[in-house]
Amino acid sequence: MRKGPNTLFEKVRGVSDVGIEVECAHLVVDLPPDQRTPARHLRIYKEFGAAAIPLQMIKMHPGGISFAVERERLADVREILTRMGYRYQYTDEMVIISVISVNMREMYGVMAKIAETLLEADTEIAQLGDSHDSVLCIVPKRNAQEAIKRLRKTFNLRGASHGKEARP
Amino acid sequence: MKILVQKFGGTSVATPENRDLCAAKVVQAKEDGYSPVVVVSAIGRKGAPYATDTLIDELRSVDPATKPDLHEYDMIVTVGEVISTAIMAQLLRSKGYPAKSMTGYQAGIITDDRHGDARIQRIDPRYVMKALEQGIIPVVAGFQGVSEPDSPDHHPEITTLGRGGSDTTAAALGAALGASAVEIYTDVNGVMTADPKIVKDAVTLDTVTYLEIAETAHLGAKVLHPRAAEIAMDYNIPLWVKDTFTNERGTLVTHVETPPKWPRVTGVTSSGKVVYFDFIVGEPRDKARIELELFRLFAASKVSIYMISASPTSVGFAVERSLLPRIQEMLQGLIIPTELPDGSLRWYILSLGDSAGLQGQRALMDRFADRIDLRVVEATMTENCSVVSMISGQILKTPAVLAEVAETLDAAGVEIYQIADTEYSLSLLVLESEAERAVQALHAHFVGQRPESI
Repeated sequence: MRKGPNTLFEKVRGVSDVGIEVECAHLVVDLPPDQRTPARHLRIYKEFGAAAIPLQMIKMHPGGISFAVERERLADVREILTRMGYRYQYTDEMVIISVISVNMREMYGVMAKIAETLLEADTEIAQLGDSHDSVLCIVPKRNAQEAIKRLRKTFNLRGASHGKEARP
Repeated sequence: MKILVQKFGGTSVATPENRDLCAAKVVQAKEDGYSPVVVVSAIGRKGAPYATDTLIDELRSVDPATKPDLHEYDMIVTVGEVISTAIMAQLLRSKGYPAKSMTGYQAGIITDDRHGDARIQRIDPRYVMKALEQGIIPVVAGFQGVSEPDSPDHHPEITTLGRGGSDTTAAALGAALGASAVEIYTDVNGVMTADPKIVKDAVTLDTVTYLEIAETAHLGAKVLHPRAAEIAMDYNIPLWVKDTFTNERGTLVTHVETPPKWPRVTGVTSSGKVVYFDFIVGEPRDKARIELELFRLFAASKVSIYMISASPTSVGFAVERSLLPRIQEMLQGLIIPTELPDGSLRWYILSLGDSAGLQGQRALMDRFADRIDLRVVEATMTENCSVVSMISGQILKTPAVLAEVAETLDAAGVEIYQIADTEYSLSLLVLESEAERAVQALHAHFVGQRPESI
């Protein structure tokens, strides 16, 4: 609903929502030292592209790459990586939690609060991602509801979260 | 009454000739049956007598060793816009169109009390509306407002809206007045698919969505401030980006009911001079604690980190390169204790490459090596990086896009050091020396070969 002329408010800084984005599996692929250049990564990306498997939260690490995929595609991903001869670890039953905030990069301390809250909740963060308006955390599904509850408390949020409920 | 908000930036009002062009746009709007509300920035860029940067330099020159107080900062910089309003109003009057200059206060722009970077709390547009009803063109000072007094004993304080403040003023006034549209006049012909200085065949987009322009602005394009796009989106006000110096159509920023078919690439940007750090912790159990302490330290020091990546044994992030000396000073040799399950302590010392200070610190600690558990967190530092981004709705829902990006950059001889994806963009950390080549290659592949209008 449109606000009247005298009730105009610009969005305030701060975290406005916390919720589950998607259920996923998280994979870490080891790349030997001589295979860490983009041309080597390309082999993996091409295989997944050909199999129509979208990757999320792709990160490059000193020892390889990691990414998330929809849980339904985990078997396909594993089959491809095995066929290509890569060593990898995977964790099924994960979720991506998003912490939404306007102008994240003009604020300080959001990441520290998230890390502190999840550490206190004994929730391991498998991966972090950030953009100008959100922080994404891959965490175990079993910890997700408690993590969201605590994050919402940390950021003084009330009401329902935007995200999907994790499926039982 | 059809209200049209027209905002003119510093370059647009820099010279009498330019201001004549601005006035012509206002007059045309009036002749077309609109009631224009004009928002202006300070006149000219750095070096011009009343430009914002010139006024800041004047304040700093009082004592270069003393950081200017933000209250005084707001007091001096707002003068630039006020001068601009009077000159523009006088120019419109000289052409036979009644006009009246207004400060942010007179235009009813009420902000929070954060000097230098205030947010608009509310707008009371009665004074602007009264002028419009009398057939007068209000010429409002952009970038400024006043804070709400805490009590009747207090007076409002003059505040400024931070970077892109005049765009924000225009969008907010447009929303408050229920304007038909907001026009942002600048020195480029709308929103382009890339910086034309880097990509010669960059094209101007006819239409972009609010989300696309906000993402583009956040990722380095300077054509419109994201706050303005976000306000326009919140209040569903059509926003145009137009060229002061031509009569071309420009770009319409609006809400689009039907998303583009293929995840079209709205643009390719490059931004920032950054350094990427990767801290190797080694012990997964302690990594979360070290990560947290790093985040806390950056928060306390007001240092923004981004493109964050974590693995079980490492944490990486980018920071602005200008902050590198400060980061090195903060982190080199920093000792972080972690508590083990049995209550004993393990000490981690951060190492950003070898230095005399670090060697000395380690030598001191090594003397107690038999009594304390001391480990080293080595950091790798990739200097001279830039962030190249492709903006596109649903970009990563197209499975092959990452392979296409990697293949395109590989062919162009560009190495990717890190990746960050959002719902609307894919950002790549590359060497600064390869950033232009990366923009050109991605633009040629994703924009040049797939023209897709909304």
